[in-house]
Amino acid sequence: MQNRKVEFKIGQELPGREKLITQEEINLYAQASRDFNPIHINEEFARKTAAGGTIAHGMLVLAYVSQMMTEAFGKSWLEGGRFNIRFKTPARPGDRLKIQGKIEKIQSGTEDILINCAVLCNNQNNEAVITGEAIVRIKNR
Amino acid sequence: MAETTKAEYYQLYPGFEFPPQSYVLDAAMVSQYLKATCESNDLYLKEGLVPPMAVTAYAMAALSQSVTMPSGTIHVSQELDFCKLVKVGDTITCYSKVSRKIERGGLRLMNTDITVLNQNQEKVLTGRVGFVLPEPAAGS
Repeated sequence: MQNRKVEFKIGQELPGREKLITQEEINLYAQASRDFNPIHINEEFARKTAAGGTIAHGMLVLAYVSQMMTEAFGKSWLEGGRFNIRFKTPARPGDRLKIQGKIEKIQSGTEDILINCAVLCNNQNNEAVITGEAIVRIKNR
Repeated sequence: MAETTKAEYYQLYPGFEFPPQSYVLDAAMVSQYLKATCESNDLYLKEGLVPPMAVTAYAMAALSQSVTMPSGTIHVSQELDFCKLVKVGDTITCYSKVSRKIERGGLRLMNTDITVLNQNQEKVLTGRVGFVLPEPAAGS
């Protein structure tokens, strides 16, 4: 198997993506994650709450951020990744999310490299849905 | 199988441990998650690995099945450490413990630490969940 040496640079943008949130996807995620909180799947219930309607699971949106990290760093993210994030605004059905990330710091050691990334998920109104940091440790082979 | 009684928020205190919960990550369960998150990475589709956020979701499910949080509770923050690869067929056991419970500035704050071990008792994931709850209404 060929070893592929990948160079990372401070300021490098991660492979961002856009996601349209649908109620169908929220319902599928509720089944898959076993999180049946009615605020996610029951419109009548959710309308009476402060949310004013159903909202996506925060973990569903964070999964999209994790997908970006996996695409950027592969297995290193799965076995050496770290998130430190805040949920700012709920994502709602019909929202179009933009998931972005950028490398902010690289620390090279003898055994591994530590890469700090700022991650951000905004909705179509440019409101932050998720903000925070993702750190990945890549072992030197 | 006897139904586990859910703890109520008022019963929780720093150090409170929720009952652990185990899941066998069979192909159907993981496939359902991949479909729900529109996941198309070959690490999962071809190499049989399990997304770390799937493991997180199952750990959060275990927690939500163990406690009834008051209406208006908001999940505000999340820390996660992905420690080890998880594969389809692995069995994970999810542990949760209250690490902080305080009242500040009219709000109630609670942190819960989660730890997930695989069938070899190896740590695959750790994390901290941050919740904010509004103060209870007077008289309630």
